[in-house]
Amino acid sequence: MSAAISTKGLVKRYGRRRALDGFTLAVPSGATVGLVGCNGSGKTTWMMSVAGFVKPDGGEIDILGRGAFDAGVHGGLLGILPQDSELPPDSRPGELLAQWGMLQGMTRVKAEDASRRLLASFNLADRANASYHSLSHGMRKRLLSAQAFLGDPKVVLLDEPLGGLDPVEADRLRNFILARRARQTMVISSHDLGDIERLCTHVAFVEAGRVVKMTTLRSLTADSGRVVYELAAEPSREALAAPDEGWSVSASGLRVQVDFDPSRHAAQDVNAHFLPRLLPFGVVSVNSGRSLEDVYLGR
Amino acid sequence: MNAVRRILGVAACEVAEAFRSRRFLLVLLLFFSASAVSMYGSTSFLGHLEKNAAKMLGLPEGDGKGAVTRVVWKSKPFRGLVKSAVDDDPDLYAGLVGRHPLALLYAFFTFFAVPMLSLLAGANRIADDVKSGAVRFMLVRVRRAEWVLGKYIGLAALLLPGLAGGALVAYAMACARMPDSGAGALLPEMLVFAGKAWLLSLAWIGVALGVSETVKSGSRATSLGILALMVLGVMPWLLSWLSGAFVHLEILCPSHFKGALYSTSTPRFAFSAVMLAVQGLFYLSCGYLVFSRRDAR
Repeated sequence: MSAAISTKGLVKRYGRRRALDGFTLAVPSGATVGLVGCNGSGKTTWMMSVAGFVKPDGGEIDILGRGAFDAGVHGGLLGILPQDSELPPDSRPGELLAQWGMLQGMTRVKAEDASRRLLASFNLADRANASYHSLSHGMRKRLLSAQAFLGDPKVVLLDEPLGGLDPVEADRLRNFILARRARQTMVISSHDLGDIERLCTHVAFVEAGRVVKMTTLRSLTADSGRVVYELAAEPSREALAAPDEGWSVSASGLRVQVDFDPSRHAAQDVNAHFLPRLLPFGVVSVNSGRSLEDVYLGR
Repeated sequence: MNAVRRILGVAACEVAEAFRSRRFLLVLLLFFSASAVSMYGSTSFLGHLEKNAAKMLGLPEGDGKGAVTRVVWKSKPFRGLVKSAVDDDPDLYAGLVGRHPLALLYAFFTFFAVPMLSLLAGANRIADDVKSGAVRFMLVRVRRAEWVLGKYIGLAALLLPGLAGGALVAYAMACARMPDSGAGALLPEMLVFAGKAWLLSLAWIGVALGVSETVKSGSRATSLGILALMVLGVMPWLLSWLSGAFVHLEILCPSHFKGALYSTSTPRFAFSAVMLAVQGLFYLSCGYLVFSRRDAR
């Protein structure tokens, strides 16, 4: 899989502090990558560098195989929701999106149409002509998120997209992102690991200005050495009998947890044994029993 | 999409945004008010002169409504006075005495006010966008140079009707205050001067945006712009004390080309107009040297 974004050894200094210290990351085309790291680890600076807002002191950036960001080349191909950005207080959402669409090369008709559709998708259709300063914090966030998807860019960078949204709107945005996952390459920075787990195919752990680990979410949680079954009815003792493989089975009500040594067995081996035995009790879900948060916090 | 379309697109955004912005409308309102007040002052001044002139010449005292002004303006002594004031510069002399006195007084005012108008309207335009982060939504779509140039063109496009509006306000005041002065024929002359003031504004818009490119706060940019205005204002005077190559630095001062805007000589006027635009782009480029290297964060 080719990289939609590739950064090698990116360095950015602010005085003595190195915000990026050899940040190397290849974002596969079509992937949704979650950036996970504590405050000040360099996630935002990396996004700003990729979008050309911040001038790195060293390293290489390549976007879609066309070099570092150049609005003349990448304009309309890359969308970004930057952190802590506001619009002029008297600007109007519908007009702004249409103007930006035209700057991306759309005709006026197409830009206005795209503006209308996006505002509808983000539940802002009735606020198209309202002034920016009259919008609530959540509405502003939705508008700024919407503009990142204007013109269906190939690459979208979202810095804390769900922060400040109410549960209904957060869910709407999650579904919007999920619906686009196959079509667009996305990078999402969030402190909500549950969101990263739900939305992303890959995760990159960022510490002190560099990526310390990048992997698929599936492998990260699948390698946990644990399988958890949620059942509709309490299982019998016979169904929980484990082969002599060193597996440890524990049941608590409708939840059955099997721990195994991932260096000796795979989750498929466990499933091949237990699923036929547990099916009569109504298997509601099967998961690795280990969340991204568990992995991140080393639990 | 080519660069020209993107630049014009930014200019269009700038115009649309300015019309929604309270600050720009307030600056425009201030300028219109100042135009009206200046014309009120000019007509009062001329009215006062008329009464005194009539008294001295033993003419029946007028009512200060412009009839005497027209006579005095065309009198030989007055024209001799103007001729000596402009160092026997025939083009400039023709440019001055060939105009209606009220149009000239309006020109003095508008040429004086244009630097401040440009600074107040433009100095915050880039700095505020950088501070709020709004710049990022543009820079992901257009190049930095295109954005800055688009801002320049947009602001220039805004000031042209603004200056014309100021001329209309002043004209209305002149007609109301001095109906006998030939003010009815004044409008074309005032509009021409508004156009010339716009040419002067091209240089000052460059100064305003150039300063705005280097700082991250609209109010600081405005303060720095006013400082730049004062420096460029006293520079010709300071340079007059120097000799050698320093004297040529006068070419950096917009006021150096202001005098030619009164002139009737087309080549001289055209050269000044071009130089004012070049000055604007020069100051814009100076600011861009900083802006192109700084982080938009």
